[in-house]
Amino acid sequence: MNEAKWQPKIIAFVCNWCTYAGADLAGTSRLKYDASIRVLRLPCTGRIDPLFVLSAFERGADGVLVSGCHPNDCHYNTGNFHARRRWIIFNDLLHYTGIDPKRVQFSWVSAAEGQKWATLVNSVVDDVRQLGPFQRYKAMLGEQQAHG
Amino acid sequence: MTTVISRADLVKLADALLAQGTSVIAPSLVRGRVEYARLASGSALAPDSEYIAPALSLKEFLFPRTEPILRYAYGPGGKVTTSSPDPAAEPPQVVLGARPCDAASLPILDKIFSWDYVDQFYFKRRERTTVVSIACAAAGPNCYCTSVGYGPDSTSGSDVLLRRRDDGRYNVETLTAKGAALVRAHSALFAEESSAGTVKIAALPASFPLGKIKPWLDGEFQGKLWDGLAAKCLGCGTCAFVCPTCHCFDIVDEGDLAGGCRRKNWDACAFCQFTRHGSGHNPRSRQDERYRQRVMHKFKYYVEKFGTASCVGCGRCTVLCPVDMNLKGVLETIAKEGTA
Amino acid sequence: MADRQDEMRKLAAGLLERGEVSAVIGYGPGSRPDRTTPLVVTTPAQCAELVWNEHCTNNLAVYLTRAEVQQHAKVALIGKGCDVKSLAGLIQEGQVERDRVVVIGMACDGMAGSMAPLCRHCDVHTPPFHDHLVGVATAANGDPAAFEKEEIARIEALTPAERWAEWQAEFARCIRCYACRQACPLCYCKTCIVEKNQPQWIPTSAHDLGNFAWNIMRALHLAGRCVGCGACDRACPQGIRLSLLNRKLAETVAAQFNYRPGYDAAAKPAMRIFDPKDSDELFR
Repeated sequence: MNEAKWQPKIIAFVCNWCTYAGADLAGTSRLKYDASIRVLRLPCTGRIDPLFVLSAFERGADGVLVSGCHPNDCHYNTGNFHARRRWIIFNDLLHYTGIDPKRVQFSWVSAAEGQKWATLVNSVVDDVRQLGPFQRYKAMLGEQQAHG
Repeated sequence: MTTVISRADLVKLADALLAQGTSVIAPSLVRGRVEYARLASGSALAPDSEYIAPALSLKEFLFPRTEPILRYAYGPGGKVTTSSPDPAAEPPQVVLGARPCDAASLPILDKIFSWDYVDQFYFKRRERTTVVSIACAAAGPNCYCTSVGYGPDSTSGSDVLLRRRDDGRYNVETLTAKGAALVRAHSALFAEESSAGTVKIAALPASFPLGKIKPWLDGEFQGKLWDGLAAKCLGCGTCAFVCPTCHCFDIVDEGDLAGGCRRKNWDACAFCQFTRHGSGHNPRSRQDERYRQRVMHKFKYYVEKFGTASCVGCGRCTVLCPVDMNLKGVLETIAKEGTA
Repeated sequence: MADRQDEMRKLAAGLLERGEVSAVIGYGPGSRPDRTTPLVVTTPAQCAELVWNEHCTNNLAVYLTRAEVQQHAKVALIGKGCDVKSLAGLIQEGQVERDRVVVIGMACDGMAGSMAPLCRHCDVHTPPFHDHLVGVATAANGDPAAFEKEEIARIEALTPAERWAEWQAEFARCIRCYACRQACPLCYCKTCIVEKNQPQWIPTSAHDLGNFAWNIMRALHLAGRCVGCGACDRACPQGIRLSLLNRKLAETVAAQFNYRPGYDAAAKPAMRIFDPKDSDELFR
């Protein structure tokens, strides 16, 4: 096990049409960004259920990033508008129960914003690296885990 | 000669047991109400004059709300390793201040957990549990233990029974070898009195004749009574979960690609999906069918299988039911219908 | 209250006699003097069993989505203001048709017992809509936003670690009886998210993880829909302070989207719509 230096696990739920394309652009532009991020592609941020975020934490994520098209640019017209309201509520609820705001972050990244994606990822990963492993959630998992 | 113990010495007994690594479960004030709780110190033992019965039953200390029964991990080459938690590794338990109705639930639970399969999780804990009960000096408005064959100083399920005297101390009746061993091990805290003193036991006349219940149930599966009764039942699991004798459970596997944990969780026949088959068919798809099941199970099926009703008359189901489903009232109605 | 009880009984009996409804959902005497119990009556004679007093705490709107009630072409509901607010939600969401319920609105000056603190902040002592109104409310309208405001502020002032510890202690008490869900008129899903097991999104086990996921997801699914009737809080056999979760989200919805559910059955629920000008503050 290479546990020399702990690296955070960040799960990114991103929309196919904007952020995923933006991430792809970052790749083709050979921009370097932290490999601690794992990207999951959804059709739209409107499809992203808060349960996905909880699921990510349950499976050991230390942080989650949700990213999609800028308002007015949604491929499905209104998906991100609905998502925006949903995330505002969910964000408030998570903080209220004591989860640090930096562990679940949200952004709008367009297909043209390859640089923004790279910078954003580095920033989010750094935020979570500073917070450390998500011990609170891991403590809840302790009972559940088969081993340790 | 009567063995007695004072309240102060009961608290000392709790501390002595805690000091030797025994878990002491006792009525304790938690967030403004008395519940059975694992004591951190004897001082948390609630005086029995201050409550009728703790809010929930004792069963969670033998049959937890959720319990891991098997852990499994997938290793290299498809090798699976498993392990099972061993309740024998848990500390012994002493219940200090069970109400007789809660103590009486244990012999009832024993039967189902040893029926076609001896549930090691339940019995290993049961073996390591000693029950010291305190008889009731007062009954609550929803109590009906005397209608189902028990009473405020019933001895069923207890290893030791305490009865409060007018001087505030308790007369100690040792009922089993386990109880005798506990008293012997802490004999310094017990005294001998020449007289039994005056003991206050609650007066609770029976509300209905138990003998009339099963004969009516035997013939009334399709009866009209169930419809009206179930109209208000919300279908939550409160009654089943607070009931000392309800014992249904669900087995779930919680895992991922690396492994997981198989758990035994409390379940309730009142839940709408309780009898839903894999095919999608649900033989008890209506709430009246589900409420009928509750009453039938407790007062007919359990009796047929094990010779005893699965009810100790504690009344908790009614006390905590959000809509005041009154099981005592239902049984009173059934008893009257049977007469008519 | 006694004169309101008589008037309510007469109204109910009249509706049944004239065949305007085939069932009346109200309250009957409970197993103890300090409780009532929901009662569905179907004949004029049975209306003599209906009661109205300061222990009529249950939210009866929960029965309107039950199959046994929906089999009636038209029913009457004995509704306090809070219960009628839930009905507004059910109408908004297409679960109950307005013209299939005769609302016997009860002017309510507040209930006794554990519900009393909520009632002190009530602004619907007179139900927001009704087909009949029994009595005249004498209690002054309060500000529902003030209910639990101090407690919510106290929690928000804690550090994240303290907040987490407090909520973990709260959720540790959860036994997953779902009384909260079953008592809530707006939890009407035939298959609740926790009952979906392909995959099992919310663990059914009553451990820390399962209880956390259940309680916050229920709060989230009720955001912008919960009218603050307190039925969940009262139903919980473990005294979990659910109102502190639901009220917090209600305040977020009110502050961000200028919406409070339950007053207008024709309004569009805030979480169903959007405003292109909603705040982008959260988004990097």
